[in-house]
Amino acid sequence: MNGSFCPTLTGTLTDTELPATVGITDYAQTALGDVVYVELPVEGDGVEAGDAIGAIESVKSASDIFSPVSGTVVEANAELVRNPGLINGGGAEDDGWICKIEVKDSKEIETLMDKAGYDAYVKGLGH
Amino acid sequence: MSPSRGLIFARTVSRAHQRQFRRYQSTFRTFSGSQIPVQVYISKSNNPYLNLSLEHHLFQTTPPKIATLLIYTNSPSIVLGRNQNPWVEVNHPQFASTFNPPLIVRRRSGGGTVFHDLGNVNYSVAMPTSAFCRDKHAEMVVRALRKLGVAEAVVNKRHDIVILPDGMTVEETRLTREVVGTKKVSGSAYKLTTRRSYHHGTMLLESRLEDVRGYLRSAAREWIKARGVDSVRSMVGNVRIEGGKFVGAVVEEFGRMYVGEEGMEILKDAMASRRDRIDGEVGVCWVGEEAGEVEEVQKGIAELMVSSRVYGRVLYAELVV
Repeated sequence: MNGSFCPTLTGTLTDTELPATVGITDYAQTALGDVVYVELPVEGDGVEAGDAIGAIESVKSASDIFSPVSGTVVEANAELVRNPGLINGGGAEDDGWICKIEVKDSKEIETLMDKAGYDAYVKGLGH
Repeated sequence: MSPSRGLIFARTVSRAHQRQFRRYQSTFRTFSGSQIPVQVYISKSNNPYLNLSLEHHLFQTTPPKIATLLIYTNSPSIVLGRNQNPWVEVNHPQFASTFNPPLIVRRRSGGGTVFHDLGNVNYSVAMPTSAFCRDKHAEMVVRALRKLGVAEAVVNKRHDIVILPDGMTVEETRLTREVVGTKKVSGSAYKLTTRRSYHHGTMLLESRLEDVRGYLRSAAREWIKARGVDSVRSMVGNVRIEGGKFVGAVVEEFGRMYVGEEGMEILKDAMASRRDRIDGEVGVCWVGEEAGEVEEVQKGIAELMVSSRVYGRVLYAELVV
């Protein structure tokens, strides 16, 4: 990728069944490169949309992840401790989920971009 | 200097500065609160806690579109990457047998462990995330080195600055292939957030490398399988250029890159006279211990100095017996 980089660093919902599963998109993981460490949020912590809920380290870069929704973290993906690379190679939107959030107000989910809107947004960035 | 003495020292010096040098403090506050699009800061402090906190404060508070360059030099310190395990990276027994051992600090960016001392100059460039690129400013520093006569300097594939072996030189500022036998003179690390990101790097000019090796090899390494980030070892060496010349060359290249030849001349002039200067699109400001009077910087210093920051994180590891 020649060192250029413009990922989406906001966590995305990969599964809209509640509690909401938060991860990053496949596009974002390609931009970040090989993930070597994931800082997970603490189960039980409250979060507001826009709060940093963790960080991903790849290629010497610590990249903050921001929560797309407000609520409480009910589960963090412990598999990522043993295998941070789960986020790469197709796993970002699947096994590489970061945490599950019990959303305070389910209406918040409806205001977020859907997959088609997101794909168009990424195209618009010129990548 | 022990951590608690460092903070008291910073406060004492800063009060003295306030009385005598009020205008420096207000230049820093005015400049850092402004919309000047290209800003250069040069720290006069050697306190690693203050320098890293100043870096973080500038990063957090500067409007997103502004490009900043901060230059700082730290007194002897071992600086761990954000997600590293100190028991694997640091040779703690060595500290017990050293009079005045280095400080141990955990920074906020990723990457591996580095040694800072007065022969090592750090550069930190912050920019909007949309403009972020890992090699761009490393190549800028390579251009600065080449202007100072270091023709063998180049960026390698790991985004580090290396010296090519046996007097070899290449025209491009970034290698696209592996070269064996290079000597690393600068390591880089990065921090990315939604709107703003930074790249900072060390430059080994006249560092006491003979001291470094003893501190950075932990005997416990064989018995711990840590889940943190490992350092990647490289052959390192000093560039052997005087610090002031290096800083001047880097500041000029930064000015040239962001504001063109005119900007470069303004900065060159300010650097030669060592006077703060703000001129249209670009400015440079020397910052001393008075930065420690800024509330967010003080908070940052306190966060970095508490011992749990280095040792108290939840770090997954297994003992291998």
